[in-house]
Amino acid sequence: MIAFAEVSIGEAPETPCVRCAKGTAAAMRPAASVLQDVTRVCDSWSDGPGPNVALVGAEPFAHPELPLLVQGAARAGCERIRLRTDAGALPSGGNAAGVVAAGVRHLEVVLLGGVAPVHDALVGRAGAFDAALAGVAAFVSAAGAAGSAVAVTGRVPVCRHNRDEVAGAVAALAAAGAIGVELAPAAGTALDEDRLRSARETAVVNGVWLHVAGARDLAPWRLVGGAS
Amino acid sequence: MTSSDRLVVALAGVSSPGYRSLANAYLREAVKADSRLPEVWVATPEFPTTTDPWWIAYQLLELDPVPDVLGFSVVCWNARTVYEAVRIVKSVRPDCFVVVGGPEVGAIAEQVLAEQPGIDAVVRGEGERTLPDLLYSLVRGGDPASVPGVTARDGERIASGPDRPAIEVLDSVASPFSAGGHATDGSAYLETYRGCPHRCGYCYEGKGETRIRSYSWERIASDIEAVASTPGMRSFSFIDPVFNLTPDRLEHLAELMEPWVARGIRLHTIEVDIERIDDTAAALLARAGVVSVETGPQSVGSEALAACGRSFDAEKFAAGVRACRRAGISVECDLIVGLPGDTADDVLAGIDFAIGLDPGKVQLSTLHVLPGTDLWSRAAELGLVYDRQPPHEVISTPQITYGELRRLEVLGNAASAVYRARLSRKDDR
Repeated sequence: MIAFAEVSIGEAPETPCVRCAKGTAAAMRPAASVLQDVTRVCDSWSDGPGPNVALVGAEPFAHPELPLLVQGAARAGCERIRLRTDAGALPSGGNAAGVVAAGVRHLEVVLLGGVAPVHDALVGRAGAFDAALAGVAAFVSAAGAAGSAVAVTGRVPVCRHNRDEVAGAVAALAAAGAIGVELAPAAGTALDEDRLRSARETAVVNGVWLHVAGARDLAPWRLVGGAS
Repeated sequence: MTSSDRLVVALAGVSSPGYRSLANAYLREAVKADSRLPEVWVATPEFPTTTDPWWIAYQLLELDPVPDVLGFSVVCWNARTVYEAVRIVKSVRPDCFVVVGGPEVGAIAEQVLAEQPGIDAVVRGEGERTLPDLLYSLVRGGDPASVPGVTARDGERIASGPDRPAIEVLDSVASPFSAGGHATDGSAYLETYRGCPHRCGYCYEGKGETRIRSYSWERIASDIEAVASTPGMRSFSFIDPVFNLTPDRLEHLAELMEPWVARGIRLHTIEVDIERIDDTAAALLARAGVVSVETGPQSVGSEALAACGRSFDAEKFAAGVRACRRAGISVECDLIVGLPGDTADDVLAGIDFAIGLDPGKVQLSTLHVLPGTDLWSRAAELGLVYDRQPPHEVISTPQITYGELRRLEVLGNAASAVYRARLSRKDDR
């Protein structure tokens, strides 16, 4: 399957759930430092088709040098560039077309719930859910217009506040066009078998692959060797 | 069923969006060229497979002049749509003679007639001789079921004429291209021969025999010229099951294509035997204007390969992919999930193998147990459970449950999409 080397663009809480991590501000890494890591990944790539990087950690659209990061990764030779994002900024100001033009081909959208009231309450921002879905649509539309093949996947950080929302989040991501979803239980959060089965069945009937981060699951992609 | 001085025939194509039925184009020319028939008008209306059958029926019923005979070329993908459209048409126009042919129906002609009361006759095998003979029989008031290659109703009973041998001299088949009008950019397909050297258990292509029947080089050159010189043509393809059938043949095709390649024409989605492609063959493909090829391995599991009568040499396969990539040719590796003998681990190993080669595209599809294929005739013996209704998708095998099949499809499609989403490289097409 396809490997992506994780490269952190900044510190961020394990989950965007505001009930878990109140008031934790993201700390961004300078572009030069991030790109050093990206170059190191590209120069030493030996993990099948690639090199591929996943820019993770802080919200990328809050990074003041995001265009530099993506363009730099493409120049460094990355074949697949992946952004982990809440997607809320994508519908605005030509962001979607911009990231596609710069080289982003993989979007990993973070959702905490399957409906707006739940997701918005957990991330602490009204309108975040609708903005995320609009962001995915904008990204897919921009890629279509550019003739670029892209892949949208989902990530559902799981904490004790959204354990019952996981299947709903999977369904929402599937409806938005995600081809796979990764569940990422926060430290100390167990996802019981019933909830996991519910999420898996929701995924399969919607044609979406689901796996659990850190588990010895099969996955169409895997994140490796977090740099930084 | 018709006035003796004029025969109106509509050969309807239900094809993937953007494509037109090549079979109907061949049949149209064959009917028009038959001097025994009275004045004959042949229409070839086309419908995308996404069209509602009621809308297809509407358009067929509105044809002017009204057809005496309505024909469909049926494959597993369009069969349900065709049957539904026929049901509607026939209830409005019971006097219209409906004939079907194609790989979906030939091997199960009697079953099709038994289950589809709106269909009057089935052409088994190649239609370029059989359809004109059937029409000739109809205008003379003869018995359709006595025509070689036809199964038809005979009162309440279903009867079959004798089998018809395959057409020996393919040049005797009228070209659908020389008359012009059939070829469109990107979706035109030519054939240079019929038959297949392989006998893959899931495939209908060879129709049970490995004999190759080729058009003459003069005819092939003429068809290429007719298609390549079509205004607006930039790329087309060949439906030959193996484009690199022999080194000599590949070289000759490259020579024929070269002048058109110089004018910017390209070939896409050419099926090849990748294990026989080295740098020399890849250079010939590039000289022929080939920008993308499609190939197996379908499976890397030894039991499935044996059950399907396929050979597979991983090293030769990988070398072929590398040779194509060096020549700037994108490769699509195809895998089938649900082959008898394959376990889930075999399918996953196949996905890993194909993606690991970094070919350009990896496509996973689910086994269809097609009528007339070896797997279809051995389904019970092999323990294959499949949908009797078209498109005959496999439901379970002794090695893989229904649930596992669905999960493997999802995983394979996701892996294919993740692989495909990348920044462009030289051989991306």
